[in-house]
Amino acid sequence: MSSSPRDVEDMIFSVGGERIDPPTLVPAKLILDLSGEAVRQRLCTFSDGEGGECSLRPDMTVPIAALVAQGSRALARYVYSGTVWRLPRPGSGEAPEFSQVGFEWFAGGGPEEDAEAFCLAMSAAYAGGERSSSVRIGDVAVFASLLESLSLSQAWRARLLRSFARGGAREALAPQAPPSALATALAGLTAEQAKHAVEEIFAIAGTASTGQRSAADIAGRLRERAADPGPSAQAAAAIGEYLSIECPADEASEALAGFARSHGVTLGQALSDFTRRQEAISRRGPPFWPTARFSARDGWRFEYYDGFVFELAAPETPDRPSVAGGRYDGLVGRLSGQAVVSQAIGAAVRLDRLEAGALS
Amino acid sequence: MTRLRLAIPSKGRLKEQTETYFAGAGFRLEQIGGARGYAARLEGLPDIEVILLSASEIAAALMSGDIHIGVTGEDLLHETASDLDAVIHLLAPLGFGRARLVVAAPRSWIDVDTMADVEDVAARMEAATGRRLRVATKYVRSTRRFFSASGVSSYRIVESAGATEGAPAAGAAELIVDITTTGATLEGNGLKILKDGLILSSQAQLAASLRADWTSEALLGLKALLEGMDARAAGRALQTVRFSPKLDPVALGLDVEVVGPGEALCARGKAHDLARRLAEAGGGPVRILETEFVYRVLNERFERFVARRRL
Repeated sequence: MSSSPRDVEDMIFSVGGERIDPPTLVPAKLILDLSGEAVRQRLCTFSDGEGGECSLRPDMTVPIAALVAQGSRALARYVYSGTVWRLPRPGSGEAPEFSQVGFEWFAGGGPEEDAEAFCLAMSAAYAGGERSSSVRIGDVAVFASLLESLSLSQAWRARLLRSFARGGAREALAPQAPPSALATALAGLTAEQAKHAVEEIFAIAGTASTGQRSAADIAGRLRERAADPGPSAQAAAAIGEYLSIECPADEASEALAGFARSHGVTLGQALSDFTRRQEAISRRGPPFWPTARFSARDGWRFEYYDGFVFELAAPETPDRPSVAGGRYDGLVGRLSGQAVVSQAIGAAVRLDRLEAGALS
Repeated sequence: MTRLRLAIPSKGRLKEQTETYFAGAGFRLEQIGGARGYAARLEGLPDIEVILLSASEIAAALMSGDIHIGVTGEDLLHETASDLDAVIHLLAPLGFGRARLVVAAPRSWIDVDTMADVEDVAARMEAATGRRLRVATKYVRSTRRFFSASGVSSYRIVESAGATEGAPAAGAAELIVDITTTGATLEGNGLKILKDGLILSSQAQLAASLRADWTSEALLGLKALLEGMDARAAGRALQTVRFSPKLDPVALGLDVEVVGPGEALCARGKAHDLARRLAEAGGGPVRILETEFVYRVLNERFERFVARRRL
């Protein structure tokens, strides 16, 4: 019996959830605000005729999460099957328009749900004919938890999380230039005095304050930087070593626990959730799991992922996954200005990337 | 398009410098239909079709393969192509039209010197106001590539049609990405270049399109042009020294290229020393002559281009 894209749909729809078909057009700003200018070269955008900019949806997660954030849709489980548009990278030979089948679940949460979502996505890919691909899993929450347990300033923690999301955590750890003499001097003043000092400098230099930042802003940042030496050598080494952890998935819990012991850090709730999730997945025994690998690397597919993440891809094209999914507990709150808050997880199967035989 | 089609800038300083450059190589430009005509020919190279376009149109025409070769700025080539090397072969840097594409911030941002500072300030600005840092530029692609490579993602591009350097003072953007030669215009607008904010050091290039239809006739035209350019450059770098044909400078251990009895080529600057030694050895009277063109059998630039096209 041959498998087909229909089988992917049947598998995902069978588990339940309301069918949802979010608008094809989304405000470009919605996507750009979440993912930054860099994604613009992948977006199919056009002017809406009133000075605004529209985009054909580049995925389903953001438009669906936006509906939930607006309160137009309830916090529930949704499934979808539809077209999305992304301009391919030059030379990739991929089409700018392709079909995705997937699900987005709201109002759940926890490692059991992670396992359920993962297994559904893997079973769907298998139903679609995928056989020789391999899975890579990761967990953004474990990295966040590592940062919590190292003694870092709030500013540094935020900076490292941002760099982890876009895939530049190692670069962000590069040694910092020592604070300038001025910054050191300002650090010895009160905030008010520092602000006046900066205003005086502007007056002497004949510099107009431009660029939407006040003297108080600038003085504040200089003071903060002088007072904040950045990660210690041990902290930087621990982070660097963490990012290199890569092992079979069934050894990951032990590898993380061993890492925590040897660096004297506590990964706390994130690690116990990780372990419970691993057990739950093993219990369910989904396809592709026996060869799954864990990677602590940075730069997962979407910057809004903040927990468990996974990808299924052919070994020769690891950057073109046929399945990508993950937890994004912060996204709905971010889109709604915290008016609606919900844990959430989702995954999408890219039908055009399933093994060639599956599409016959 | 069987003949070689060459596009050169149609206006401004870049046009003048291109004309001077080709004239220096012995190919004077004649515009067909007077100074406002958009077709031209190069004296001495009748088989080359010359058209005049704006520098950015030349970059676009090279990408599409509508012209074989063109003179334009590297900054525009990088801006037009996402993968320059796949489409364009740079034949010769021309030594003029020099400019730097840079990131500049308000001088009042005394806490900001590097792209890492920009990343930090952008994130703070977004957290405090919900608004993204704005970058005004005409160089949208180059900006995106550079900011992404520098790890800055939290910003928005404001496309600017002209006078980009005024955007921060006007409140339309916080940063700019623009070309500068001396930095004076930036300074005059209260801006400073970031320490690691150099995106590209650019100059005018003679560039070839790998997408154009390279007939054998077009290749011959390119060969003739490059040979002429290189012959002129070699001529400028060398002087001819004439002396008594009875003398063999190589036997005297002198570092020269003998081209025949009593005649050698010598690097400019070394000619006088050589002449003195030849005269002392009895080869006088020794004469130093200017050399206008030196043609050689193989043109390296042309061979490199041919090899590149075979890949």
